[in-house]
Amino acid sequence: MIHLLNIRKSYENVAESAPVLGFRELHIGAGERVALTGESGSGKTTLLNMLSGLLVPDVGEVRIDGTNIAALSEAQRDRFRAANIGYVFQTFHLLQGYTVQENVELGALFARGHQEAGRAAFLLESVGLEHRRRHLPNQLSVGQQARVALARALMNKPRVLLADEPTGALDPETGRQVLALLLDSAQQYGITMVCATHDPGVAAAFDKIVRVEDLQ
Amino acid sequence: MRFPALVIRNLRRRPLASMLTGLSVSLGVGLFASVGALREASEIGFQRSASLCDMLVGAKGSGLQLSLNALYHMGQSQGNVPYEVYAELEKTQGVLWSVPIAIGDSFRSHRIVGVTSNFFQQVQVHSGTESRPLEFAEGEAFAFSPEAFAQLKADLANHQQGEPMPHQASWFQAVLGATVAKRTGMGVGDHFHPTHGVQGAAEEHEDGESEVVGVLAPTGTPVDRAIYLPIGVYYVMQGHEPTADMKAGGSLDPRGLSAIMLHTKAGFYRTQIYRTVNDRLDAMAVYPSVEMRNLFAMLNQGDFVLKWITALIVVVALIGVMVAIYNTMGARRGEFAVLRALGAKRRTILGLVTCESAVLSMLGGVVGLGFAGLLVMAVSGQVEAQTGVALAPSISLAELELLAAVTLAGALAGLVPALSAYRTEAAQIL
Repeated sequence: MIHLLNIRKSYENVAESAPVLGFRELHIGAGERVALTGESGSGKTTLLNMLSGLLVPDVGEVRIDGTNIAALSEAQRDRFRAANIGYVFQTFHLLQGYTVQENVELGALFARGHQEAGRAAFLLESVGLEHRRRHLPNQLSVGQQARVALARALMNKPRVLLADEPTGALDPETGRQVLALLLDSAQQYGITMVCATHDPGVAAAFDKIVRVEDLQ
Repeated sequence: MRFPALVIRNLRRRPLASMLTGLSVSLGVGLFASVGALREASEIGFQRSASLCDMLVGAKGSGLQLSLNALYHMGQSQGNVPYEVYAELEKTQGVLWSVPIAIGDSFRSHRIVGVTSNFFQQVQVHSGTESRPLEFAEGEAFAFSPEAFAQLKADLANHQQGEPMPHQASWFQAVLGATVAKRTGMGVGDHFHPTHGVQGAAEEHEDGESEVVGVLAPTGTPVDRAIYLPIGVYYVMQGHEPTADMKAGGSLDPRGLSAIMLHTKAGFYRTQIYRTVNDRLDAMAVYPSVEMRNLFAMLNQGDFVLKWITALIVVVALIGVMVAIYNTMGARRGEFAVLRALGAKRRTILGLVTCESAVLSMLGGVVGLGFAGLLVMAVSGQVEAQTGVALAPSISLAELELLAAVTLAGALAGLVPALSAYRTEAAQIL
């Protein structure tokens, strides 16, 4: 499903040109739920961004379902991301000024083909927020915002769900609930999930743990 | 949710900023469009009035003054044209109709115009491609035919000083323009005394008491502002007799005419009549429509400067749109990064910001055109009161072109912040 090969990535603005990320291979099977762990600056988020196509490695292949997205043009990667990738950010990044339902609908705005009528409402119901669909993000608790972010990430029926420290901004109890929801959703819809976390407790809930430092 | 909804929603998220920047565009566009709309509406209105007849014949002098005095009831007369000119023109081949005009009296500041009764049958009011005759809202025209006028002139030629003037009591009948009827409150059956002079002098013609027999329907031309009397009345009222210093046949001849309205066959005949009259020493012919066109060509010189100034206001307003949107870019980088992470292409982000600027400018432009229309409506009453010309706000191709230009300019102004948004690196922000 996901196959990264001979990856090397460095940033131009880093004073020393030592690579941020460099490893030979990483394989994640279809439907697998993988936690990426490692110290801050180890390259977890860089790896997620490469999987989403927002970044490309300097060298190497990023194959998702056989497509080497590192070889695609930026516009092609955008299209690929819109159709195949769901992303839950650490601070959720819900757009202020848009209602909860509109935020969820944004998840499929850039995907080709017709938006499925009622999908946003269905997803909101599945995360227990159907009664809050007309509310604005700043009227929600942080936990509720996390659930909206998950619904938005599932809106385009992604094959890969990426999550960057999804529980980092939550209290332990809410974090556990959101994590359970993420894992259940990935399992329920058969989505391959990659989650960056520095929390061993969170990582332990996943099918597989990959320590980024060990990849180097 | 679709892309256009995203554009509108983004504008609505900042209601005050959007409203103020849109308002600045609308004021600029409103001023710019007003200059053009007022000039265009004025020109159309004045040209409609100028087409009441093909040609005007009057005393030698300014063609513009003759047109304004005879057709628009403005300014002073530059003298009279001999009756013989009218008599000759009546018999000239190619003249379809002619109406002699006498001007010099008034009633409550409304000018009294002496005409023959064929004025009411022949004059057509043109509006676009349509033309329609004068219609009566109430009553009917008085009876004073060109033949009756010719007979009166013959009688006056033989009239000896001291003898009673040759006239009939039935001549003292009047037809009111629509505006006069509205302002004076007079209607059919009412009586009034004309006053001497066009400036509303207090001296009344005691022997000129006239009965209103008809009220014309509104025409949107200076016809609405005039009172029409049989032209014969002008020659028989006291105070209009010749004095020793007035030379018969000259431009001060009180038995002459203020002007002659002519409708001629087009082409050769019209040109021939125009040249023949202008070859005379005692008369000139002018095309009122040409005089009005020349007048507006002169006024357009002033418009040109005004248009540049108002165009600059629009440009400043559009720069305001650019600055307003640009100032939000820093705060919106997170939003653009999220949209990129959700699959938006860079050019989608570019298009989003550009469209926001274009839509804001377009909405400002639409409101501005509305402002311009309201301004024309507000001014039209004043213009109509002074000239009798009705101005009507309208949406023309020029307005639509202006709207398209403002929208395009707004889009171009939006490119500056849009390029900044375009360069957003989502991976660095998220």
